[in-house]
Amino acid sequence: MKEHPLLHDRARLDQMTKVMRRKIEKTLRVKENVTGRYERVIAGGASCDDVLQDALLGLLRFPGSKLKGTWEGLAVRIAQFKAINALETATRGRQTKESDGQGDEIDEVRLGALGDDEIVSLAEAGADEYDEYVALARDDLMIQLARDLLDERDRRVFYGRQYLGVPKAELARELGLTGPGVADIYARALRRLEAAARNHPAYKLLSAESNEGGPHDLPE
Amino acid sequence: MTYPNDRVDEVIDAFLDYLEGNRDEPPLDHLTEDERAEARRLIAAIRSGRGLDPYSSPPSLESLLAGTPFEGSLERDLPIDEDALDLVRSELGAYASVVRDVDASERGLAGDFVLRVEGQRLRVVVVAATTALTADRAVASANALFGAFPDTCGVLLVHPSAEMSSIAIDPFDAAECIVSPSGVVERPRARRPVLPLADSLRLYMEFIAPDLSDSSGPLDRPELDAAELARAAAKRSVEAIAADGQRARIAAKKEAWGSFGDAQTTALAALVLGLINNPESADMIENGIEALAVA
Repeated sequence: MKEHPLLHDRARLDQMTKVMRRKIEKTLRVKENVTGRYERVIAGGASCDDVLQDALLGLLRFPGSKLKGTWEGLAVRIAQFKAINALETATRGRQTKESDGQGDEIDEVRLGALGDDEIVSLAEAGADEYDEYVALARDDLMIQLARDLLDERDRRVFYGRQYLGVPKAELARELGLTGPGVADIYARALRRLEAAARNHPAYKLLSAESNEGGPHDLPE
Repeated sequence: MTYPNDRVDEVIDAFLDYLEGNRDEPPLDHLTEDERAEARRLIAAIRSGRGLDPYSSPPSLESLLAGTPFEGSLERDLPIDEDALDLVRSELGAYASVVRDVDASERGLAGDFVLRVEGQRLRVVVVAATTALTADRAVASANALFGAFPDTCGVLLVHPSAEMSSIAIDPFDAAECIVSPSGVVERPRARRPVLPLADSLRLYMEFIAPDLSDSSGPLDRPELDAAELARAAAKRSVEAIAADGQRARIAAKKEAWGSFGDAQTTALAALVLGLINNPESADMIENGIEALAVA
């Protein structure tokens, strides 16, 4: 098998894997609150990491000679296709089962959880994948920066509001705060992390390449 | 009074309510142009991040490619050559007893040296310059060492560069931990700063085995010799006067001050010592020291 060019650029492939994972998470998102204790599992037993492995192999099997855009853009597109494909395969012929509200330890993701916006963006995939890659890379960076810059309470508020959709009142009850207190902590954290990510050298580089239509890949 | 940040904050809060289906999408018309630009930027970040799992992290590339046709084809870090290992060994040797980590090599683990410092056993892993010291796989190599050798109290990851950048990993960094108050499980990660090797080692030793025998405390200071202090103070003063005398333009002053020497020093020292030994002066000094101690 001819060696894939990305296998020689580990740092780039590492980042692409992270972004693909983020894209899969977004596609497989569930409406219920999800905490770190729970792994998102697709009906049938597949996990985000299974889909990620499938997507990564799809990327590495793609011949460079047929690449029209960028590897980064292709990575986002493949991740999304693989996630939707996994959902469709897992839920074909299944009845939608309502959650019993008892807080199952595993959140099964069903096709019904897929938002309309994802389906539309799949159909439109083509022009802006690299921009989406840059946005997801920035999200991944913000998550990392939150670990380093925020204390435990502020991080819980930021993660809960920004990513997990935890209601303000629930966070306020959990952390002994008021609703406006939660909103204030979240807004400050969002401003700080958005600015820190925007000014981060890694994001600046990606963003500059985005303005030029992505990195200039040479054909295989 | 409403501050610009408050107005943008209100929009952000309202936008989250909108995403949760509790209200319509908030308008931006009432904001100034700058505020609107900021609000749009923050809203884009909210939209983009929605649905991500901040507590997840992808498995390593090696594990994703294991058992596939691409297994083993990932470009590996260049092996660390002997010169680089010698460089690290000589740097470490300046601070502690160091030996090659034969046990780790035999078990196929990434340990290069064992360091014995103040009765503690640390392991050193020389990391290829192309690998970040904080990378998951670097921390994972430390975790493997803690698992295989429970007597290891710390792992130093070192880049064999001129700066000898390094990071110390303790057993808790290398293990998954449950964070309070959220109760979520956080993956292993390097938490200490990247520092030159000597600083990493020194700071880590201060953390795991603080030296409490430091004799620099006030109780262990040697007793002060009042006569010696008085003579030193007198000598400095007499020398200053003699130097002024040497520069004087009035002949009498030049002759009188310029000739100040040992005799004047001895006399002045005796005078100062007498003052120090005076009971009233001694009380003043004691009170002064107490005041300083309180401050």
